[in-house]
Amino acid sequence: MKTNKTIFKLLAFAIAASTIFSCKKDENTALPPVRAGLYILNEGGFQSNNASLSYYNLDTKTTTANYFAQKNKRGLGDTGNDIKVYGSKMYIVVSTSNTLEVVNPKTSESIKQIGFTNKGVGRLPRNIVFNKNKAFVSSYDGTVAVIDTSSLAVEKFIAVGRNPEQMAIANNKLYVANSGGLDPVFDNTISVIDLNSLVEVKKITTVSNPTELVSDASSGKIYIRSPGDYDQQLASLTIIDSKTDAVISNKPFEGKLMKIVDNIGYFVFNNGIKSYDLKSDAVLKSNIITDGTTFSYAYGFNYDAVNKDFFVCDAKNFIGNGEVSCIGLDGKLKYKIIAGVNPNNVIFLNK
Amino acid sequence: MKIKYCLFFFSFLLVLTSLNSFAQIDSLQKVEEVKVKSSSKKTSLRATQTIDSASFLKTSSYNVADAIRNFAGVNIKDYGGIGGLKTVSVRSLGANHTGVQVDGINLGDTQTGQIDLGKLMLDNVESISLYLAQPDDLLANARSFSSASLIVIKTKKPLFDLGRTNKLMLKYTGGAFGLVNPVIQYDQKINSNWAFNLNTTLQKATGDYKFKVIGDGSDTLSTRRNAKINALQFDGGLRGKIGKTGLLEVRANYYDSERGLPNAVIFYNPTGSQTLWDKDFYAQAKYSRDFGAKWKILASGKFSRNYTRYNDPDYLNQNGELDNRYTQKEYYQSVATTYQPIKDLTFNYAADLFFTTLYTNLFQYAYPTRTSLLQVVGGKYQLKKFTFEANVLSTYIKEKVKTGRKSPERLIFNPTFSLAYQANQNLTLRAFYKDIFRYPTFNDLYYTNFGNRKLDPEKTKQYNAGFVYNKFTTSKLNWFSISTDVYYNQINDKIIALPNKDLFIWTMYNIGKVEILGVDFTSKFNYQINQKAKIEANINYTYQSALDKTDPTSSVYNNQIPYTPQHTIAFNAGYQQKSWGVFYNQIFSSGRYYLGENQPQYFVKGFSVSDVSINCKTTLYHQPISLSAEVNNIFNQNYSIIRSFPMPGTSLRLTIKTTI
Repeated sequence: MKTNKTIFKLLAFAIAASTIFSCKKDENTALPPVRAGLYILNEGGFQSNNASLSYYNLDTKTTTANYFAQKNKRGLGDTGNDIKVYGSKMYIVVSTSNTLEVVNPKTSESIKQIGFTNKGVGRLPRNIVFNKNKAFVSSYDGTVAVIDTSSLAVEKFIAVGRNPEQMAIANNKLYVANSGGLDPVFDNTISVIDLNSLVEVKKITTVSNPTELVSDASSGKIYIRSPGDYDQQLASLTIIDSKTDAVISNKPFEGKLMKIVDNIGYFVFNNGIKSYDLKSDAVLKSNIITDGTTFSYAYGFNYDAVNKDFFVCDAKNFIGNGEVSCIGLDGKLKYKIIAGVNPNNVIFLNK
Repeated sequence: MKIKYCLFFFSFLLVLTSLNSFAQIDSLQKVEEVKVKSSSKKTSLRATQTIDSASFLKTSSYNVADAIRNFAGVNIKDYGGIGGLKTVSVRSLGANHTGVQVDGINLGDTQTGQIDLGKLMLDNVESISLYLAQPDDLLANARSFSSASLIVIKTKKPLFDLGRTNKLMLKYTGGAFGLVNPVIQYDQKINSNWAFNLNTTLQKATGDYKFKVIGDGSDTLSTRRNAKINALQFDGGLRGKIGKTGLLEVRANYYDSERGLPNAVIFYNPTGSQTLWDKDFYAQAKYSRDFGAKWKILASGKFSRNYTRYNDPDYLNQNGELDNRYTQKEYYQSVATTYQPIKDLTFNYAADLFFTTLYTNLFQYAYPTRTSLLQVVGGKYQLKKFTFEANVLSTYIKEKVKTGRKSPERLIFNPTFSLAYQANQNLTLRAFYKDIFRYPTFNDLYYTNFGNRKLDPEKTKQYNAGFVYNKFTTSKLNWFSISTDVYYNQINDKIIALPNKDLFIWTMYNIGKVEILGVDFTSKFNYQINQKAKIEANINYTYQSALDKTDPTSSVYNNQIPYTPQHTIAFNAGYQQKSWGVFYNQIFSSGRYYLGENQPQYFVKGFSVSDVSINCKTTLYHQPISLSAEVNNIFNQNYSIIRSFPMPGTSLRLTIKTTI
């Protein structure tokens, strides 16, 4: 038995290693990656079971709506909250349906549906990040699930703070934003999980209602955004140094859905894109868009590092199709894509 | 406290007197309800529709929402099941624009602005009318003039067989969903002027039903769970004549229910475990009398207390559950008068003053108190074949809050005009215009974090023109009536929820605009086969074009607003013999969109639902017994009115009733 297990572990390791290396290989080959298309995750309306995936083919410039439903003869469910590709799999977090849909990114065909209920009660999974063949899924029941990306087995639930939202990784640590959003008095902590032992090692007290977390690989800083608590506290941006886990800056700040490109932070602000210099901690431009493009309700924001494009998801009026705009680094609109209900994320697929 | 004692006393009395009355049985002829039928034939200036208690069974109606679903211009939002929320929108204006009255005084819900008609049982109801713009009788309180349309529920008056001073009605309904529904109604004459009645209803059901989930890849039927209801209603009325023309009507009602909320059917996680408790009490009194031949007055008062508790044991907060409690209280008083100086001219005036409070356990709640002063002044003038009616309603609203800012004080004036022309004995042409609003609810204004205290009222304008043709003959088709009304409605400053700039919190805004073009067609036929048998039929049809006119640059501009079918047909036909009858009811609704954008992926398919009912009257041990069976949704249609809230398939209901 023991040897069997060891062999299995070794094998798993070998497979895992090879997937990493193959990934690395892709990135390191002389030929740069070429995008085949992009997926738009449409969150859908609450209690409407209309979360969906739209696929946009960059060559033919055509959109296929309800791509997941078409391929799997069933819908994604209710409230698609996060989507990411890791290795050879794509992961879709569907909150109200309490599922993690694991699919083949090339075809969108289902590999596995992982349920997120605890004794019949939904955990409300929210976001997903990856590290060394482990997927980490934050859930509103105050846990972060650890999932092996090759076996797709849920290995562990790590207890964190109240209603965790986004996560970020730096210095072999996982940072989790404990929003406490389901209580009138919000949480104000960031849980720090050691990625070797997979336990919460500390909680850093920051601002009320921390929601978004972004790590800057070049500086080791963690950026925390809070939309405020609708009472005393304004929307703010807080910075933690991941080496010391100390809060190094905290100030009122308007802007959300932060993305980092070459030491510049980009935020959605006032239905435009705000740029922010991470070295000097100062706003560069309150809106980088130069051609007058604007949005009704910017609901999602992504950056494609290959084509160097921003994608802004516009939920429009929340009562019909949304729209995704591709905007270049020069701040000019390149093209628009019709999306489903409340688009919130765009991810990119290589050829 | 006093009220509680009264209730106990009433129920005690009920038990005593009911035992007593078994001993004294007289077999005497019944007083027929001629009154109700004749009034329904009287032509209204506006297209009033009425259903009486005799027709509840014919339309397989179990609650007030069922009873009015056949009316033209009516769109019921039904979340499914016995305990499911049911609200009514008239002529696409939305449920908040429909007022609901019981015996001339409004049921208030200032918190949500919507009355759940599924909660209102039919056992103590004599008739239900839908008035457009205002009631037909001018001697009415000012609040009757304050909504775009008004549902008026009239309760059963104490009624006795000749020579009798009491009456006991026992009824038992049971059937699908584990329904157990006994009713006791007792009527007692005190003396020649005074009488009272008491009604106790128990309603219990597990509520579970099978349905098909579409879209989650499953191919078996699922069971709708957590849909139970446990409800108890006590209702009592006292009615008496004071002097020559004085009439006093007092009514008290207590409704206590516990309902499971089965929640939306969420793919892969279909469980709902929330519970809703309601404890509603009201006591009201109405006094009317004439002063000579010209003056009439009507004074009324009401106290109501509605307690609601909502519990979600799966809520992922610190307490491990969400437990919200709301108590609404309303203190209401009104005086109304009409003055008729000459036969063809009547003036009316009414003033209502009421106070509404809401207490909740929500975090940092505002605890608002609303003072409303409504006054209406108007008149009716008959000039040969023309009838002209006009009034102006003034509304003054002032609020007080314990924390934060309050909503601003407002004074608003709204006119109504109606005109009718009696072309000949059978044909009447009619038209009306009404300008009114719905005031923002306490939830719209003050819900913690969501409310917007600066909201304006949501305004509506209604323009209506139509005709009604009634004919009575001595031939076999002895009566028929058809009517058609065409209308154009506008909603401005529609209150819509949208996220604030941070997208985290949704707030209410006055931004919507809707234009409605509609047609209501009603028809009724009565065919007398012979002395004993007749066929009755009616077909109503509604056309609605309710288009979003908010923003010409938006993709939803000129799209049909959500959950509004273009075509609705209600068909009812019955064959009635002296001792038995069989009836068929069908509702057809064309497809609707569940979102504002009219794309095929947002389409909810139409439905056609049929019900059949049979009743027969017989005697058992010399007791008159009435038996009925209703089969609802006989073709087992799998449908939903609201997306993710499936409706039940075929179900059976059996009733046995006796009057002693």
